[in-house]
Amino acid sequence: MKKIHVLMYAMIALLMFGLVGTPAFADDHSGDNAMVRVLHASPDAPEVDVYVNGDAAVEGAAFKDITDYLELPAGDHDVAIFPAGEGGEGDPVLEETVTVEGGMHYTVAATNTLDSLTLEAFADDNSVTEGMTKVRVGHMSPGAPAVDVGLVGGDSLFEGAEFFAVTDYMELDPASYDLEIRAAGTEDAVLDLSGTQLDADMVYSVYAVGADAESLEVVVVADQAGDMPSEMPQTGMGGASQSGNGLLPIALTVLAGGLVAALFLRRRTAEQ
Amino acid sequence: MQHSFSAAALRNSKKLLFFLSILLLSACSTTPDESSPASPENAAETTGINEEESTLEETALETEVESTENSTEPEAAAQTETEAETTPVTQAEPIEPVLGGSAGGIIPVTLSIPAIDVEGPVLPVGLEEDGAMEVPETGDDIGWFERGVKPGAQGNAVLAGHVDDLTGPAIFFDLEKLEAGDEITVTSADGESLTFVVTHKEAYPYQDAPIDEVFGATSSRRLNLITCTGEFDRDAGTHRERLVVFTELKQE
Repeated sequence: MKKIHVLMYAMIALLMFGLVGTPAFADDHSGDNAMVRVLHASPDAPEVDVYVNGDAAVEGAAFKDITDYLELPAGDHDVAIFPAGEGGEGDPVLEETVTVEGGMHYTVAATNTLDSLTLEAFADDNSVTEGMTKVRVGHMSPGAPAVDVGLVGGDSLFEGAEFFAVTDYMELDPASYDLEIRAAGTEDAVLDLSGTQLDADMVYSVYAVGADAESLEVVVVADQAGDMPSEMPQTGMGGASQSGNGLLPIALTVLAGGLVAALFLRRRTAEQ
Repeated sequence: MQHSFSAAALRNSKKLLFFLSILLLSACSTTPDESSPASPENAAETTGINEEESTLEETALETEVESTENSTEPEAAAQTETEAETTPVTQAEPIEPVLGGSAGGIIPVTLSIPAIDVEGPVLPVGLEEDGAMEVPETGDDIGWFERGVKPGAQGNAVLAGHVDDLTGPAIFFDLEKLEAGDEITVTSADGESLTFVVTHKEAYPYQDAPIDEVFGATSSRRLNLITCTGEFDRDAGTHRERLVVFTELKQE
């Protein structure tokens, strides 16, 4: 008896997967998957290959490189970093488990110096109010002090960011901004970012990288802001299609109604 | 309108009945178009979006105030001051942003599909009030969903065209004839063109299409073409199904 039950369950499971499961695997359902990319932010680390769950995901990423997004199922993933060109053989420089949620975008930064290399994963939100721009700042320079980022000679937009931190996004009007990175709480500029162009419907991440304040530089990553409709478009007007219910009766009714109304109105006008 | 009707009614109650029936008739015949966006489901979604937008607008306003304050300061003076003070500052070329995968691509202005003899202009379109993707007003134009990615970038870029207009076939009438392997080409205003290859096509009930699969994130560089298919449902004022042709950037 038990065996039969198991068989039945197996068959039910098979049926369900046959109907629901297979199409989901044939086409990637991005709602269930996470989008993950890697930023090489370790100033003294060599070029690296990144392996995810044992497969080469990125090859030859150098300092300041950011990869395209990689689609991964929600859940835990084994991310291993190897020196480039060794085919993932030998000991990885670093191996960590990264947990991702479906429907989210992530940047995983390989950060700090080579001997204390770590992976930091943080979420990207590539959406913005239509016509606006959005920016955030990441402090990825292990030797640099806490910083403010603000307008040259003006107010700070982001304050007190320390290694390792990625700020929230700030929505701004699209324009060219004269930004600078300052030692936190001071007017001492560490890095001049004059003429930073922030375009509409784009999302910017300004990552400060480098070993310390002297070798500080920035990687500005620009992403296209995306939005999804809630409904499919109305891509037809019916002029060359079979119709579910007749247009003619409705058209005739409207026409007849209109005619009667017109006649009636005319009569009424005549009466007055 | 109704006031004049009831005035007439006061004079003659039979006329009122007559008018009411005409009113009813005309109301019935106009509902199909208006009723689809007004379903309770959609209404709820629309409110959600509005709320979200209004909070975002508030933040936007705050930010705007900040930035105007900043820009009203005597910038030139401030700048020379900073330069004088801070000699060790690493200067100074404007930083070129690194484009994330989804940030590339071209803005399409024409589309050509030799396999079904389609060649037409592409216009940017956004969202309707009810959150649906907008479509071009005429049957000859193709709409590119500009709130998504550009063709050639990582993600799902989307074009939509009518299958028919009020009088006959429109630009995407033959879209259903496309087969895997057929090529489509989009060209930008400065003449750059990209070719995509049809991978598969799928028809979905119009209110139950996998929006996320057609418009959402993907690591591939896709361009999806949408048109209507199936019977035209007069009550709903739309075709019963949507045809999506999925294509992927041709590997050079």
